[in-house]
Amino acid sequence: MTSIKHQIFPSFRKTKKLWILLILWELSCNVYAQNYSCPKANNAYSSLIDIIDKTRSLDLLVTENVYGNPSYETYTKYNNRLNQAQKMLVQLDQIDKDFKECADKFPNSTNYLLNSSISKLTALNILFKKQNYLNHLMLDANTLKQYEDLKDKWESKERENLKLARSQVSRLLIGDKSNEYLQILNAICLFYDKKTDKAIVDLKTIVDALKIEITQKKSEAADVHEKEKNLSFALTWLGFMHAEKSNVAQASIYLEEVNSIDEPDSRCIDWIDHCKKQNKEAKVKCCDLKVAEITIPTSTGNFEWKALKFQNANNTSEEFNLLEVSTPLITNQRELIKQTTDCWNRLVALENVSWQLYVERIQQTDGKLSSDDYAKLFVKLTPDNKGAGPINLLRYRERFVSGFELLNHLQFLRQCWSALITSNPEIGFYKLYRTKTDLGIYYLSQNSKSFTEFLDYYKLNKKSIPTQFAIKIKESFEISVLNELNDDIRWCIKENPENPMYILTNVEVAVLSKSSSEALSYINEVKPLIVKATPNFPGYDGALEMYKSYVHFKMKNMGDLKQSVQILSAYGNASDWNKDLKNYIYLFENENKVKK
Amino acid sequence: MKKLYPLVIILITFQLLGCKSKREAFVTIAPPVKPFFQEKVGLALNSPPPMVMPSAKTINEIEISSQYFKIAVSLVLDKSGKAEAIKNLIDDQFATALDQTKRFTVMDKGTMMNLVTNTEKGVVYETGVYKETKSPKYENEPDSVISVDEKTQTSQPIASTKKNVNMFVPKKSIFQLFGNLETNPQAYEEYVNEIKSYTDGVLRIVITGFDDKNKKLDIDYKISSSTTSNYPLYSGSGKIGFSLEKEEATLTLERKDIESIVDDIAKSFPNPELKTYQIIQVNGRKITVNAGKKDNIKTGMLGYVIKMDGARTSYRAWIEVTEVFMDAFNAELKVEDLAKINSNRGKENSVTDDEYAQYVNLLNTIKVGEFVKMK
Repeated sequence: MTSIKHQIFPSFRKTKKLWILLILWELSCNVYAQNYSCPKANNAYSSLIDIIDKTRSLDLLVTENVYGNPSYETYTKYNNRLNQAQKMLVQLDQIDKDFKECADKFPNSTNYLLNSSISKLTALNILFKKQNYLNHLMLDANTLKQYEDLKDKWESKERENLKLARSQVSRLLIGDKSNEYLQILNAICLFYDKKTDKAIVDLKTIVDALKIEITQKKSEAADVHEKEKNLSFALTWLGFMHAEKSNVAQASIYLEEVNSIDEPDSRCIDWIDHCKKQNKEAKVKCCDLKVAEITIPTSTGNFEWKALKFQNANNTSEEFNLLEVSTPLITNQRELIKQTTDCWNRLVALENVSWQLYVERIQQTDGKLSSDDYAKLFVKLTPDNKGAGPINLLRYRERFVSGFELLNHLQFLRQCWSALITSNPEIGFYKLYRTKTDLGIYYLSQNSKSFTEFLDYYKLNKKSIPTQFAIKIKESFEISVLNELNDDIRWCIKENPENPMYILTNVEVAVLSKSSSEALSYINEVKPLIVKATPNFPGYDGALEMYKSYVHFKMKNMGDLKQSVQILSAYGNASDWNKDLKNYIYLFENENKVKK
Repeated sequence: MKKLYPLVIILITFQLLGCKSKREAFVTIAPPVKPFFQEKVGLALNSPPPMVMPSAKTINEIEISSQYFKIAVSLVLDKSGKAEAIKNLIDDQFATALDQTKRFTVMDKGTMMNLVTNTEKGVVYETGVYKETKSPKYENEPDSVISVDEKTQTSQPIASTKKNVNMFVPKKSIFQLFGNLETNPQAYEEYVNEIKSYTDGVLRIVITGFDDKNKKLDIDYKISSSTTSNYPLYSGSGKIGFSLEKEEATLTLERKDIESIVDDIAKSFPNPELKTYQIIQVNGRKITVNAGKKDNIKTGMLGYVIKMDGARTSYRAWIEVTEVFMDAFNAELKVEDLAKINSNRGKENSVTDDEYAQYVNLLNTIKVGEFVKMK
């Protein structure tokens, strides 16, 4: 008997999960069970609920943004998300069609028309954020056509859905003017129709009326569940609309209010919780909290790239020549990011050359530098030494060529980033990279003399550099970017005040452009913010310490500098800088040994 | 000259040293620290808030018009041919006695007469409002109702009448409508059937004997179900005493006799205030309940599946007994017709198709263990 029993129920324990799933499925079916006279409507209803719940899976935080240089894996992630959204739009179309059929068959029942409107508004939730889904296609030449086709299709769908949803909701409202739920839907239609201010006013009126009704009903111990559900619906959209208008403080107030309702709609609560969690993470990981549509500038113009040459055009004889090469701007952001980073690597390396040579000589001679040693160093240019000989001047010439090339490159990049910013003023990421570029230009302009001084001494075939060239070159170094640089970073911080990347960039600006005491004071001020915002990202804290050490280095504050070196030894990504710092400390400590 | 050599040497040395002192290594002021380039800058992709679905009216109970058995007493038939003067008293007093038991919801005789007499020619009684439903002659005048001239027997439309206004409509007599009930059994059945559509059952009383000497009436009575005519819910016979004061020309019935009969009738219906049963089996729309003959359950009786939530009782479905056994009975789960529900509720509160579908769906949720009360 037992064996038969086992044969019939061979492995209940093994299939326990399956049973639980079946029971849950059955329960969920019951939850969604609606009984419509129109048979199609039952399926359409459960499919609609299913899609509304699934739209959550489209909301995610991608670790690499489309403005940057997304990897293949990230690109696939963006693509999968787009495919998922497209599938949902097709399903929503079918659902809408089913409800409309039912509405025609049963004209006396308003439910079908209402559900048809809801399915259209759900589709609008996706279509409204089309740049969220399509941006990545525009950044690849191979998918540009697909981008344009989809953008047109989505835009026309958005217009059509909005028009129909508005007319359906208006029709329903005629028959039931005091219905708060329909009034909320109407306000949502207004929002999608870009009448946000009117939508906000309407929703606020609905919210106020609902609050009064709920208070009255509660005092009469009546059922207020339906009213509270509508109140949470209205408040959530009110919060969202304020957030879209960048009125974050007001948005938070409304969204917090939803949490204080006794029986709010669970989907509203879930959406708010998810947004809160994702926004908290986004403040740290993302530059841009809003995803703007990317516009690639069509006519970008050229940059006049200057270079001082020491031979004629045919390289046949030695003579000065200042060449200006017209170079088209780049709009490929991946390339721009790469080149901006590369410029900074070159700048850091270039500025370290003189230090490295000096330290190396001192280390090898214990400070007793001979003429041969000086021949390997940069010797200061003075009117007395008249350039300290041709080898020294040639070394300065090389430094100038590299520095001037770097300056031109940074100015070129600046113009490229500016072109992107002009077309996309809402994207902070571009402004951030222009700031990084400007920082390099600012550094070079502040130290221009160290590059251009050699022009006064250098001679080619006993001829000095022509004055008009020297003036042009010196003018190139006298570029002022500080105001725009400050404007950019201020804009970024205003958009996302807690973003550690923006805060660090502001520190970089302070360290390079302000007095040491001001810079140190700012570093100390923002340190708690950085530590709080990035508990799991020691890189930020390490970067802050790097800037601090830089200020100590500039001030030759040996005690603090040594302490910084010790702290930085714990940060792997600061190892190169720490190595340089150790050299600088060695130099400061052994400088006095050098017999001048 | 030789004396000058040391001086020259000193000068040269000094010169050389002086030259050396002019050589000074150049280092840049402070090589910059490379800015922080975050490797992965993320992007948060968010959608607007989800749509909240409107709350569907979840119907998990039915509306009932009465918790108790709705009964009407039909006009009494005098088969003895001698009790013409008395028979009109009997139905009235039975109705009163039934009402006093508080076991039944009794239809008032006046209302019943109205129902029957105004059903003719498309005029129906609906929650106190007379209105036209189908009258080919006056199709284009929906606000008109039929006025019947008793003398001429011709119909006249009543002019400028409004819908939903309770108005007086001259009636035909039962005789005019159905003919002589005593001699025409078919007419009597038609008349009873008319009443049945507003009740759960009808008490029919027939005078079978008239004993003038002992002042006793012999009567047969039975309660037939309004839903099924196959089985009587109760039947019996008895005697009712009467007295006739010739001087005052007053005829009086013995109330005690009527009350005794009515008491038996009431006792033969299971009392919902005293007894609650339970469903022991569900098979589609058929249920089996743990009460039977011994509990006075009879085929054709009605009841409700109920849900008790503290002091509140909600009604989930109504049932009609189909088979009765000693300790159990079978019943069918039922839902009223949409048209009938709506005729009771009025246009403004009418039940939509979708809501009615929920009423029907409610029957599928009935489970073993749920409670049943008889009507």
